[in-house]
Amino acid sequence: MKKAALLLLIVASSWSISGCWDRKEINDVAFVMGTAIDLEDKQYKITVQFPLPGQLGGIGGAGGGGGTSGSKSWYQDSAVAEVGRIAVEAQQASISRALYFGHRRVILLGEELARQGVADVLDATARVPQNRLTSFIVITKGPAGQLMNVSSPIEQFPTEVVRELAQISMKEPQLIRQFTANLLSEGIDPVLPALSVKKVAMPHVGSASMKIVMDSLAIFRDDKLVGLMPREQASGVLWAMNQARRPSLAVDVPEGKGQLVVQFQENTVHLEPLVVGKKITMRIHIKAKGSVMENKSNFEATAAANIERVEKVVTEKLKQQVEASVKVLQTEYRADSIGFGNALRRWKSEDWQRLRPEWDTIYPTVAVVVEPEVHIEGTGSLLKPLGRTEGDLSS
Amino acid sequence: MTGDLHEQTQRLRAIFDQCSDVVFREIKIASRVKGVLVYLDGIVNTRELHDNAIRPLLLLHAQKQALTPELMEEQGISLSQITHAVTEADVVDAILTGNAALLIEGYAEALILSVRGGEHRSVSEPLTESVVRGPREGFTEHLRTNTGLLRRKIKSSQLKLTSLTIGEQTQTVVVLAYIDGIVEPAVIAEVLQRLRDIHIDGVLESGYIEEFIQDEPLSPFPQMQYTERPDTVAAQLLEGHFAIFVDGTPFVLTGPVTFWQMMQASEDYYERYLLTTLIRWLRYIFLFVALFMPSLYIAITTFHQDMLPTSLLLSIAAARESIPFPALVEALIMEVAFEALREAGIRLPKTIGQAVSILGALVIGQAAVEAGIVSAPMVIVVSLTGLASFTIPRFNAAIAVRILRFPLMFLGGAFGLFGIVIGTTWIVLHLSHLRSFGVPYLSGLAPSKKGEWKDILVRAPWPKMRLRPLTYTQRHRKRVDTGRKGGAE
Repeated sequence: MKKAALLLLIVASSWSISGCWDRKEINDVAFVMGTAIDLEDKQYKITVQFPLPGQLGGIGGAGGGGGTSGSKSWYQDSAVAEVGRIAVEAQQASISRALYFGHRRVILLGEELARQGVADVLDATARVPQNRLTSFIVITKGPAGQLMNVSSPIEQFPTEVVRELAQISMKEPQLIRQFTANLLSEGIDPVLPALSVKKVAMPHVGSASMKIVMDSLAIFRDDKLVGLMPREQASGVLWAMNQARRPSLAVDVPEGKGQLVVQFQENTVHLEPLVVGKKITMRIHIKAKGSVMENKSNFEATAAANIERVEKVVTEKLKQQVEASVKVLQTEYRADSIGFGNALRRWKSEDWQRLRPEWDTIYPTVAVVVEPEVHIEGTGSLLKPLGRTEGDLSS
Repeated sequence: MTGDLHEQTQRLRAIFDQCSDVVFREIKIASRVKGVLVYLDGIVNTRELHDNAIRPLLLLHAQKQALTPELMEEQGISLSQITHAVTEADVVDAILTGNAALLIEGYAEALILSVRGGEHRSVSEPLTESVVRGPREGFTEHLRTNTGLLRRKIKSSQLKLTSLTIGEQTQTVVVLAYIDGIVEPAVIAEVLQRLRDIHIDGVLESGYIEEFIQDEPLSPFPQMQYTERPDTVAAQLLEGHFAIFVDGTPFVLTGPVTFWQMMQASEDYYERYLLTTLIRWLRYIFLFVALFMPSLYIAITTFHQDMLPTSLLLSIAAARESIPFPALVEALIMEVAFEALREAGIRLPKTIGQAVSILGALVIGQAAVEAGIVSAPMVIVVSLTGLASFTIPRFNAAIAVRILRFPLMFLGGAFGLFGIVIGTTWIVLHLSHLRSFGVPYLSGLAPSKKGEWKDILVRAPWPKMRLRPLTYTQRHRKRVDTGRKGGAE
């Protein structure tokens, strides 16, 4: 009994000594949803965005969060300092709740910063366990802080829009983890989705007139941004990178006039390097399965023979598109985003060892042969183009 | 005893002085010999006594023979159970336990007539353990009715019912039941020893016995099971447990027990095995919920916010925005209120019970949330926890879980998940250390006995449970005849 009493006393006293020292109630924490990092006068400008729980429509709060109430459900603020962390500390001085980065899901990097190199800012995103490596990382055309301020009626927070867009940008979304892996891997340069702000074509009365658009692909050479590739061109690069997520292709029909659109549900890519001395040929095998989504021509694509003809056209178009995009990548940006060097390292290790020192000069000269293998498996539930009479049809 | 009737009567009158329910009935047997019937009114069936003892004795035709007690027993009294008592103490005991004593002039012994009677409740459906499928009879307060109910289930002379009397004042009859040949003899010897060691003035309920004979009185976990269902007792005896009947209560103790048994209901074995298996998993899940949910909620919301999905966290943050208390205090308020509500509900008459549930649901649930004193997620957590603790079939095991929830909440509130891990470790250590009549409490899984998993992790179909669990008995293990498998063949 005496022993039990003593034990109780020890437990009770330890309570008052050390108990709850790192306790933090949800009410005292600001959960940062996204960080925008810009370069301003050679200093870092860090903008953080966090939700205002009081405006999220919980019971006890003031009313539900309707779009028309005027008060935003989030808050963002920025601070400038030479080191990112110091900027955050400066920000904390004006925010009454502890900034908490454990739930940060997007990091936006301004174009200007990215052109100077992103290696410096990556360190802070991984050093402390509070920061997740599963945050999405995107590039913004123009200052990142301003883009993060564009609210959308669809999602509660702009950062949520950014996150969702980043998620569907590629087959394998670029999280900090993937980006860093690509950055550090030999013979491959990273890419990131890039966002910009556009005017909404038909704004609702009273709602935001600007919107966030994912319209290009940020091409890096090492850790420096070398250019933003427009969406149409980038599509070819994504094909070759095996990152195209449900891509569509519009082709002219083999007979008659008009176009039809094929969407690919499955696509895989295999790189096969051929080395003769310093002359390298990179064969890009693409295997794709798709189906006809729209047929605005007078070509009847349903019959088996006709499908084969469509496949041929699609194959040709795909070949052209990818080869053109890769050419631009090789000559204009000189960035090995697809990972030719990496493929060489994997399949022709000795050649890679030999060529590595001059790889920068060799890369633009690599001959690219795209070999698509396209299967069209579905033509939809319509046999013939809807809205055309029998006599109109070709074939 | 002396042969002097007058003197003997006077002495009995002195013993039963001021006992207004004692009756001394003087009769003249066969109109010749004086006799006195002594009994306690209220626990004796007077009608039977009159019809089968007094009347035939008065009208006895025995003019020539000597009127010996033997003659009366053989020709006079038409009762099934008659014994002889030669000491005064035996006579007094017999009268107190509901017999009538017949003293006869000139004989130094008394005839004890078994005419037990008095009022008792009839067999009805057990209130605390109702079933959808299964027998609907329950034990009563009458010991012999209870042993009779059991005997009707197990018609075997192997079923032994050893009787003891415990309680200096109450003289309560306690019966130890077991199946000879299945039960472990060492366990029975140990139980008998523990029962004999009880010295108390009175035993009014089997709980008195339980607290005297359990292995670890300080443990929150029950080391004996109680039931008011004869089929549960029968099933346990067949598995090699023993049962203790106590006169005056419908609750029969069984032991030894394991933790897994607390998660099993009698109906598990009557319903089809597939359903039972799924329901057992459900119970295990909700056991976890009942024990950990409030403490996990506290720990995660105050220490480990990064463990929640972002959107869930924002919902919780929105709900908690205007709550004035820390999560631990909030949880304590709700848990204590819930326990109070439950306690208030149990003992109230049914008509007032409704008022309590309105109070609980409206005031504590809705109003507290609307007033911004308690957050809605916390109400969900607490009510889910309450619900979960009701899914544990054994009420006494559910109590252990309810008690342990509170220290875990404090640990979670003070040290986060680290505290919960420490608390859980302590609970697991305690459970593995605990023994019930020599049987490890987690037996089946720790120590692991592979054959018993089929009645712990799942409930195997009856034809597959061929052997009795090794946990309780090493003897006579065959339960299902392997030669004749179940099903039509």
